[in-house]
Amino acid sequence: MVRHWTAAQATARRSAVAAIILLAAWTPAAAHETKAVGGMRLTVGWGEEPAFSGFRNFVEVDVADGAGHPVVDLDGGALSVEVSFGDERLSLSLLPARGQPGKFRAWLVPTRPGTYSFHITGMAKGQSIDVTSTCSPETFACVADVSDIQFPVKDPSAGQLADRLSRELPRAEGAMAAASGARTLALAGLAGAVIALGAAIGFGVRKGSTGR
Amino acid sequence: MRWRVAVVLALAAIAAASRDAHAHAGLRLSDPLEGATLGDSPAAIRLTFSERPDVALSEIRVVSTEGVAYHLGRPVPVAGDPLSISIRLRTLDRAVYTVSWQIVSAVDGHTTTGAYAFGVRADPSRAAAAAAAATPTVSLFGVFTRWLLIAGLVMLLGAGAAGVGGFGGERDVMLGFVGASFALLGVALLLVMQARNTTASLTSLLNAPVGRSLFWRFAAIALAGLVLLLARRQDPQRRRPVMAVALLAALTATAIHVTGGHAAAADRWLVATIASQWVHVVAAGIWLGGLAALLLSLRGAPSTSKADVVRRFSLIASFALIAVAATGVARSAGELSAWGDLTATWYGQAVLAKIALTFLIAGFAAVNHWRNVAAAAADLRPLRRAGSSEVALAVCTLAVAALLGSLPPPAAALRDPSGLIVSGTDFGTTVRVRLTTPSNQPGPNRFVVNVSDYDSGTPLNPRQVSLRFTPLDDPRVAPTMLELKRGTGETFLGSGSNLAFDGRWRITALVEQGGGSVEVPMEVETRIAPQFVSAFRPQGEPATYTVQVENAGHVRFSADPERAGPSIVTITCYDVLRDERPIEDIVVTVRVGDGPPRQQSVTRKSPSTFVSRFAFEPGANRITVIARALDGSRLRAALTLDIDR
Repeated sequence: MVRHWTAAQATARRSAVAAIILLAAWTPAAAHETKAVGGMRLTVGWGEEPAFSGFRNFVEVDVADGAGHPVVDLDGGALSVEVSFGDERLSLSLLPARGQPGKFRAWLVPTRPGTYSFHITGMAKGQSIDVTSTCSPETFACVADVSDIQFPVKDPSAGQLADRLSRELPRAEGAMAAASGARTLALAGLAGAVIALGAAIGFGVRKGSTGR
Repeated sequence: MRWRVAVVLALAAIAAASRDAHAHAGLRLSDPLEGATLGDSPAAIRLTFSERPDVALSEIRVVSTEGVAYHLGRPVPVAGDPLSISIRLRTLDRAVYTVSWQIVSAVDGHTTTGAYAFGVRADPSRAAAAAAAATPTVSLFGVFTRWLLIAGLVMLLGAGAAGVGGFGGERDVMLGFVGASFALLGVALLLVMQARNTTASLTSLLNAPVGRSLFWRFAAIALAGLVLLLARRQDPQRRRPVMAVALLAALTATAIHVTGGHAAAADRWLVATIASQWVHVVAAGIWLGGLAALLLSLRGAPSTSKADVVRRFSLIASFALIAVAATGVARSAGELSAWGDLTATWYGQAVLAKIALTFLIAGFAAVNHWRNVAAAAADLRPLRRAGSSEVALAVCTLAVAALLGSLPPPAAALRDPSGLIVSGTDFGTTVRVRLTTPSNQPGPNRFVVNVSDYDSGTPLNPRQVSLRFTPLDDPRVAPTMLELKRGTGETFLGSGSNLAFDGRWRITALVEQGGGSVEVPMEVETRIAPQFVSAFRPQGEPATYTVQVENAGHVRFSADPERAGPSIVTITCYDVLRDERPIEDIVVTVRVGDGPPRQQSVTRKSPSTFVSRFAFEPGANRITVIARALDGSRLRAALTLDIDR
């Protein structure tokens, strides 16, 4: 016998599944990497995860002491982050987040999907900080292209449009140069044809006049 | 004479040195993957090869590090995948296991063996290294048997051609008889070698395609031998028709031999490749076997009739040499994947040796053609000396040819797999990505990616390439990632079970290079095993089609009307007992001909029944249903309706 779900049971089941999915989706900063430096713990990741290319985001560093309490005052120290993507580097200051003790942020817009690394340096409570973290499934989220969640129409990102433009302009110039060359060739061919026609007419007239 | 002996010894040394060359690297894919650490025991081992294996002659063994065997019964073919075989397993405990296999190709009869290791909740890396070290070698005995067969065929062809072409003499029959004996011994030893390698009984071996091919070769050569026996009793003046029959039998034996070799494994221009190989062997037989027949007839004092025969053969041999060279170049081009293979692989080095030897023979042939043939009426000794040298070198060349027949051609490793092949470009049209996999079925797979410039097609060498797998028919299943490693050249590769189940998948390649990156979306559809469909056509009502989904239930389709144009398709899902099965999610797609699949909108009519408005087009309309039941199980059913105009 088939076990049929009643309408109420099915609704309750669907609601539970939806709630779980929503809860999972709304959990902020789900994947960060925590590193111990001296007596402190630094937790590093994107402020908004999953991170999408072309959308404003921030590098978030949670500084806590050994007991897990947020470190509010760096005792005159300062932190900075060097964000790297392939050969590209960008240095930014990590500034305290307003109303969120122990959290430091550096804002940026990641313009390409892929693998980002954060190199955090500076001083905190007299302790030298030098920590590097690279995105991966075990650390924090890598930046993804936004097209997967675009609906109903998938629009190209600014980066994709820039790539396309940088490719299409040389192609257009190449096509114009080829067209120009073809036009020159056509004119030369036309001129040759006119000369040949003239020569043929001239030769015909001469042949007619000599009667041969 | 000394240098001839030296050449033979040198080639024997080359053949002996090649014992360490790897045999046919036939394994394309395994499930579980090589070096994998599994969380639980697999139910079976599945191996996919580059050529169709002969299941009856193939063996798979699965043993633990303690030497306990875990395989059950014999290997069986995999439905819908002729390149794969599988074997069932007992439940595997926590340990490392070695899978050793011995496969006989149903295409060219070559035996391949190998081993790999995987672990169940254990690290298999040490055992994997030991298994890799157990990779097999080319057998010198195998090379010798092939040499016997090829040399015998060449003698037989030469004797037949000499008898028919009239450039031989009394000893043609003897040469042919020796050739037939060599070839028969070669075939018999090949049969013994196959039986020894496979541990199969002679009956099962002869029932397999490899055994049948050897049997027919034997029969054709034996027929040629019997005809030669008959020719021996004939008056030499009336021998020509009988020798023509022997030649025909030798040509047939050569054709059977060629269809059981490397040429038959070609994935393109199969008929042309086999024909080219056949012409190659036949031309070599007429040239070199014919030369042997000619030399046997040139004993004694010179005469004008002998000089006429020499001139006639010289012309025939010139055409045969051209045919050997042309078909040899064509065959080498087909079996080598790049110029570098000539020096980097054993196969390429053997090809180079064969070319060098052929040049040497051609050199002697040129001396004969332009100098000794003209002087044949007065003095036959120079011609006999140069001709004997040609024959001695031919013996070595045939040994190299036998070695080539035992080595895996480099191009075989690069032949287009029967798996998935898909290409794509990024929106910015900066790169092209080509993705290939050896298997087109769900489960473990190897992903090979090549990236090239969009405009110039130049291969690119990006910093990193990763793949994201998104199931299109199962929206609740989260995408997975696979980071690829740099392979040889500009290739990136990685293995994983990311295509976890059958259906449509979007594979997005993330290509990172310099300070930028691009995403290249591609779409693939994994193959579904053949499903049993039963049709019921009640009078005056639309036909219903019930598709059996293995171990999951049934899906019933009904199209009203079943013709081109708008139609309403009703889909009902059942469990294995044919009770209606409540479905949580359903995705329905339709594909017309070879076009892309289109997703249909679906309306629920009951917990297990859905309807969808279709617009059928003339031709094959393939409807695919992917349904997730409330208990989490998944049904995928496909039905093809042939719609009339």
